[in-house]
Amino acid sequence: MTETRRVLLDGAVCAVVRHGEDLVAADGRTVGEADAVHLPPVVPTKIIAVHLNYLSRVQEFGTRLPAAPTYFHKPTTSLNAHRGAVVRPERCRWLNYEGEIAIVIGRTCRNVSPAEAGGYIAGYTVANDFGLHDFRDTDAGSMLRVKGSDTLCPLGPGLVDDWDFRGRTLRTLVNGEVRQEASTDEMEWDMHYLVADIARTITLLPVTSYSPAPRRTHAPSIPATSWRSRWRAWAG
Amino acid sequence: MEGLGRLTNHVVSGPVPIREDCGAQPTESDEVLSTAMGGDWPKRVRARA
Repeated sequence: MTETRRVLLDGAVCAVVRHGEDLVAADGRTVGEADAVHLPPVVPTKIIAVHLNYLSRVQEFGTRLPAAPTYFHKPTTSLNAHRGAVVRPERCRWLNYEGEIAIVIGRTCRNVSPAEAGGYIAGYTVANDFGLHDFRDTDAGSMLRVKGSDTLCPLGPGLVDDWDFRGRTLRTLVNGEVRQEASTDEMEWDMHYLVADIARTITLLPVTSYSPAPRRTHAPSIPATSWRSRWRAWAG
Repeated sequence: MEGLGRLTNHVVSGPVPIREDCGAQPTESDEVLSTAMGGDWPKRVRARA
Protein backbone atom coordinates (compact mmCIF):
# COMPACT_ATOMS: atom_id res chain seq x y z
CA MET A 1 0.00 0.00 0.00
CA THR A 2 1.13 3.54 -0.75
CA GLU A 3 -0.27 6.58 1.01
CA THR A 4 -0.19 9.79 -0.99
CA ARG A 5 -0.96 13.14 0.56
CA ARG A 6 -1.21 16.73 -0.61
CA VAL A 7 0.48 19.34 1.53
CA LEU A 8 1.72 22.89 1.37
CA LEU A 9 5.49 22.65 1.04
CA ASP A 10 7.50 25.86 0.98
CA GLY A 11 4.32 27.70 0.10
CA ALA A 12 3.22 25.54 -2.82
CA VAL A 13 0.89 22.56 -3.24
CA CYS A 14 2.93 19.37 -3.34
CA ALA A 15 2.17 15.66 -3.52
CA VAL A 16 4.08 13.61 -0.99
CA VAL A 17 4.29 9.97 0.03
CA ARG A 18 4.23 8.96 3.64
CA HIS A 19 7.22 6.99 4.89
CA GLY A 20 6.61 6.42 8.58
CA GLU A 21 6.53 9.81 10.23
CA ASP A 22 7.96 11.60 7.19
CA LEU A 23 6.24 12.92 4.08
CA VAL A 24 8.56 12.84 1.07
CA ALA A 25 8.12 14.80 -2.16
CA ALA A 26 9.27 13.60 -5.60
CA ASP A 27 12.20 16.01 -5.47
CA GLY A 28 13.35 14.62 -2.14
CA ARG A 29 12.14 17.41 0.14
CA THR A 30 10.85 16.01 3.38
CA VAL A 31 8.53 17.31 6.05
CA GLY A 32 7.50 15.65 9.28
CA GLU A 33 3.93 14.45 9.30
CA ALA A 34 3.24 16.38 12.49
CA ASP A 35 4.52 19.62 10.98
CA ALA A 36 2.83 19.38 7.58
CA VAL A 37 -0.02 21.63 6.48
CA HIS A 38 -2.42 19.22 4.81
CA LEU A 39 -4.79 19.74 1.91
CA PRO A 40 -7.54 17.30 0.90
CA PRO A 41 -5.69 14.31 -0.60
CA VAL A 42 -7.70 14.54 -3.81
CA VAL A 43 -9.60 17.24 -5.66
CA PRO A 44 -12.82 15.55 -6.74
CA THR A 45 -15.26 16.74 -9.34
CA LYS A 46 -18.17 15.54 -7.27
CA ILE A 47 -18.83 14.01 -3.86
CA ILE A 48 -21.66 11.53 -3.59
CA ALA A 49 -22.67 10.04 -0.26
CA VAL A 50 -24.88 7.12 0.69
CA HIS A 51 -27.71 7.43 3.16
CA LEU A 52 -28.32 4.25 5.14
CA ASN A 53 -25.92 1.36 4.58
CA TYR A 54 -25.01 -0.03 8.01
CA LEU A 55 -27.03 -2.24 10.25
CA SER A 56 -25.86 -0.43 13.37
CA ARG A 57 -27.17 2.88 12.10
CA VAL A 58 -30.46 1.33 11.09
CA GLN A 59 -30.79 -0.02 14.61
CA GLU A 60 -29.74 3.27 16.14
CA PHE A 61 -32.50 5.13 14.33
CA GLY A 62 -35.07 2.39 14.71
CA THR A 63 -35.73 2.34 11.00
CA ARG A 64 -35.32 -0.06 8.08
CA LEU A 65 -32.93 -0.19 5.15
CA PRO A 66 -34.40 0.85 1.82
CA ALA A 67 -34.63 -1.76 -0.92
CA ALA A 68 -31.66 -0.15 -2.66
CA PRO A 69 -29.09 2.50 -1.72
CA THR A 70 -30.12 6.17 -1.79
CA TYR A 71 -27.69 9.06 -2.14
CA PHE A 72 -27.08 12.75 -1.72
CA HIS A 73 -24.52 15.16 -3.09
CA LYS A 74 -22.00 17.35 -1.30
CA PRO A 75 -20.51 20.22 -3.32
CA THR A 76 -16.74 20.29 -3.68
CA THR A 77 -16.70 23.65 -1.89
CA SER A 78 -17.46 21.72 1.31
CA LEU A 79 -14.03 20.05 1.16
CA ASN A 80 -11.76 20.32 4.14
CA ALA A 81 -8.49 18.65 5.14
CA HIS A 82 -6.75 16.78 7.93
CA ARG A 83 -6.46 19.10 10.94
CA GLY A 84 -8.77 21.64 9.29
CA ALA A 85 -11.30 23.66 11.26
CA VAL A 86 -14.97 22.83 10.79
CA VAL A 87 -17.03 26.00 11.12
CA ARG A 88 -20.33 26.12 12.96
CA PRO A 89 -21.90 29.45 12.05
CA GLU A 90 -23.33 31.61 14.77
CA ARG A 91 -27.07 30.92 15.28
CA CYS A 92 -26.56 27.23 14.40
CA ARG A 93 -26.44 24.59 17.16
CA TRP A 94 -26.89 21.18 15.60
CA LEU A 95 -23.61 20.31 13.95
CA ASN A 96 -22.91 16.57 14.06
CA TYR A 97 -20.41 14.18 12.55
CA GLU A 98 -20.21 10.77 10.89
CA GLY A 99 -16.94 8.95 10.37
CA GLU A 100 -16.81 7.41 6.92
CA ILE A 101 -14.71 5.85 4.22
CA ALA A 102 -14.27 7.72 0.93
CA ILE A 103 -13.88 5.80 -2.30
CA VAL A 104 -11.66 7.60 -4.78
CA ILE A 105 -12.25 6.96 -8.46
CA GLY A 106 -9.14 6.46 -10.60
CA ARG A 107 -10.51 6.41 -14.12
CA THR A 108 -13.68 7.37 -15.88
CA CYS A 109 -16.42 5.03 -14.79
CA ARG A 110 -19.83 4.57 -16.39
CA ASN A 111 -22.08 1.54 -16.72
CA VAL A 112 -19.92 -1.13 -15.12
CA SER A 113 -20.85 -4.21 -13.16
CA PRO A 114 -20.13 -4.59 -9.45
CA ALA A 115 -17.51 -7.18 -10.40
CA GLU A 116 -15.78 -4.63 -12.64
CA ALA A 117 -16.10 -1.63 -10.32
CA GLY A 118 -12.99 -2.36 -8.27
CA GLY A 119 -10.87 -1.72 -11.34
CA TYR A 120 -12.07 1.90 -11.38
CA ILE A 121 -11.18 2.61 -7.76
CA ALA A 122 -7.79 4.23 -7.21
CA GLY A 123 -7.89 4.02 -3.46
CA TYR A 124 -9.58 5.09 -0.30
CA THR A 125 -9.35 7.81 2.31
CA VAL A 126 -11.11 8.75 5.51
CA ALA A 127 -13.99 11.23 5.53
CA ASN A 128 -16.03 12.95 8.17
CA ASP A 129 -19.51 13.80 6.94
CA PHE A 130 -20.38 16.76 9.12
CA GLY A 131 -23.98 17.95 9.01
CA LEU A 132 -25.48 21.30 9.98
CA HIS A 133 -28.90 20.02 10.88
CA ASP A 134 -30.35 23.41 11.73
CA PHE A 135 -31.25 23.54 8.03
CA ARG A 136 -32.68 20.06 7.83
CA ASP A 137 -36.32 21.17 7.85
CA THR A 138 -35.88 23.77 5.16
CA ASP A 139 -33.56 21.79 2.91
CA ALA A 140 -36.63 19.69 2.20
CA GLY A 141 -34.74 16.44 1.72
CA SER A 142 -31.96 17.75 -0.51
CA MET A 143 -29.59 18.24 2.43
CA LEU A 144 -27.81 20.84 0.34
CA ARG A 145 -26.96 23.17 3.20
CA VAL A 146 -27.06 20.49 5.92
CA LYS A 147 -24.30 18.48 4.28
CA GLY A 148 -22.94 20.88 1.72
CA SER A 149 -22.00 23.99 3.64
CA ASP A 150 -18.38 25.09 3.61
CA THR A 151 -15.86 23.03 5.64
CA LEU A 152 -18.29 20.13 6.25
CA CYS A 153 -16.36 17.51 4.25
CA PRO A 154 -12.94 16.81 5.73
CA LEU A 155 -10.98 14.18 3.77
CA GLY A 156 -7.63 12.62 4.57
CA PRO A 157 -5.02 12.48 5.74
CA GLY A 158 -3.95 10.56 2.60
CA LEU A 159 -5.08 8.47 -0.33
CA VAL A 160 -4.23 4.80 0.21
CA ASP A 161 -4.09 2.36 -2.68
CA ASP A 162 -4.31 -1.45 -2.60
CA TRP A 163 -6.42 -1.30 0.57
CA ASP A 164 -8.94 -4.07 1.07
CA PHE A 165 -12.07 -2.65 2.67
CA ARG A 166 -13.28 -5.97 4.00
CA GLY A 167 -13.17 -6.68 7.74
CA ARG A 168 -11.88 -3.23 8.69
CA THR A 169 -12.77 -1.27 11.78
CA LEU A 170 -13.72 2.40 11.80
CA ARG A 171 -13.68 4.42 15.00
CA THR A 172 -14.72 8.00 15.54
CA LEU A 173 -13.49 9.78 18.63
CA VAL A 174 -14.74 13.05 20.11
CA ASN A 175 -12.34 14.70 22.54
CA GLY A 176 -10.55 11.37 22.89
CA GLU A 177 -13.69 9.35 23.61
CA VAL A 178 -14.78 6.62 21.19
CA ARG A 179 -18.26 7.57 19.98
CA GLN A 180 -18.52 5.38 16.91
CA GLU A 181 -17.13 1.96 16.14
CA ALA A 182 -18.17 -0.52 13.50
CA SER A 183 -16.85 -2.99 10.95
CA THR A 184 -17.03 -2.62 7.20
CA ASP A 185 -18.58 -6.07 7.21
CA GLU A 186 -21.77 -4.34 8.42
CA MET A 187 -22.26 -2.77 5.02
CA GLU A 188 -25.41 -3.89 3.28
CA TRP A 189 -23.97 -2.75 -0.06
CA ASP A 190 -20.21 -2.88 -0.44
CA MET A 191 -17.93 -0.40 -2.22
CA HIS A 192 -18.06 -2.16 -5.57
CA TYR A 193 -21.84 -2.41 -5.57
CA LEU A 194 -22.19 1.29 -4.74
CA VAL A 195 -19.82 2.40 -7.50
CA ALA A 196 -21.63 0.25 -10.04
CA ASP A 197 -25.01 1.49 -8.87
CA ILE A 198 -24.27 5.19 -9.14
CA ALA A 199 -22.34 4.76 -12.42
CA ARG A 200 -25.47 3.42 -14.08
CA THR A 201 -26.56 7.02 -14.65
CA ILE A 202 -23.73 9.29 -13.45
CA THR A 203 -20.24 9.42 -14.94
CA LEU A 204 -17.59 9.20 -12.24
CA LEU A 205 -14.47 11.10 -13.28
CA PRO A 206 -10.80 10.94 -12.36
CA VAL A 207 -9.20 14.11 -11.07
CA THR A 208 -6.91 16.53 -12.85
CA SER A 209 -3.38 15.20 -12.55
CA TYR A 210 -0.73 16.99 -10.60
CA SER A 211 2.88 16.31 -9.72
CA PRO A 212 3.07 12.69 -8.79
CA ALA A 213 4.93 11.58 -5.73
CA PRO A 214 7.73 9.03 -5.42
CA ARG A 215 6.74 5.49 -6.31
CA ARG A 216 3.76 6.83 -8.24
CA THR A 217 5.77 8.38 -11.01
CA HIS A 218 4.07 6.23 -13.62
CA ALA A 219 0.58 6.96 -12.41
CA PRO A 220 -1.24 9.04 -15.02
CA SER A 221 -3.15 10.99 -12.46
CA ILE A 222 -4.30 11.13 -8.93
CA PRO A 223 -7.95 10.10 -8.79
CA ALA A 224 -10.80 12.43 -8.78
CA THR A 225 -14.30 11.69 -7.97
CA SER A 226 -14.57 11.02 -4.32
CA TRP A 227 -17.43 8.91 -3.34
CA ARG A 228 -18.32 8.16 0.16
CA SER A 229 -19.87 5.32 2.01
CA ARG A 230 -21.75 6.57 4.99
CA TRP A 231 -21.24 5.03 8.36
CA ARG A 232 -23.53 5.77 11.23
CA ALA A 233 -24.60 9.02 12.79
CA TRP A 234 -23.94 10.05 16.33
CA ALA A 235 -24.83 13.13 18.24
CA GLY A 236 -22.19 15.80 18.10
CA MET B 1 -9.70 4.00 10.12
CA GLU B 2 -7.83 0.74 10.20
CA GLY B 3 -5.26 0.89 7.41
CA LEU B 4 -6.21 4.38 6.20
CA GLY B 5 -4.94 6.51 9.05
CA ARG B 6 -6.47 9.02 11.39
CA LEU B 7 -8.33 12.10 10.20
CA THR B 8 -8.41 14.84 12.82
CA ASN B 9 -10.49 17.99 12.81
CA HIS B 10 -11.77 20.53 15.29
CA VAL B 11 -14.91 22.60 15.41
CA VAL B 12 -14.82 26.38 15.67
CA SER B 13 -17.60 28.89 16.07
CA GLY B 14 -17.94 31.10 13.05
CA PRO B 15 -18.09 34.74 14.08
CA VAL B 16 -20.52 35.71 11.32
CA PRO B 17 -24.14 34.75 12.07
CA ILE B 18 -26.50 33.30 9.52
CA ARG B 19 -28.15 36.27 7.83
CA GLU B 20 -31.71 37.01 8.82
CA ASP B 21 -32.60 39.24 5.89
CA CYS B 22 -33.09 36.40 3.41
CA GLY B 23 -33.85 32.71 3.23
CA ALA B 24 -34.99 30.12 5.74
CA GLN B 25 -33.74 30.43 9.28
CA PRO B 26 -32.28 27.67 11.48
CA THR B 27 -34.91 25.49 13.15
CA GLU B 28 -35.02 23.03 16.04
CA SER B 29 -37.79 20.60 15.22
CA ASP B 30 -37.91 16.99 16.37
CA GLU B 31 -36.64 16.05 12.91
CA VAL B 32 -33.59 18.26 13.40
CA LEU B 33 -32.85 17.05 16.90
CA SER B 34 -33.50 13.37 16.24
CA THR B 35 -31.15 13.31 13.27
CA ALA B 36 -28.44 15.40 14.86
CA MET B 37 -28.45 13.43 18.09
CA GLY B 38 -29.01 9.97 16.64
CA GLY B 39 -29.19 7.32 19.33
CA ASP B 40 -28.67 9.97 22.03
CA TRP B 41 -31.90 11.81 21.23
CA PRO B 42 -33.80 11.74 24.56
CA LYS B 43 -37.07 10.52 23.02
CA ARG B 44 -35.20 7.64 21.40
CA VAL B 45 -33.40 6.86 24.63
CA ARG B 46 -36.72 6.76 26.50
CA ALA B 47 -38.27 4.55 23.83
CA ARG B 48 -35.46 2.04 24.24
CA ALA B 49 -35.78 2.02 28.04
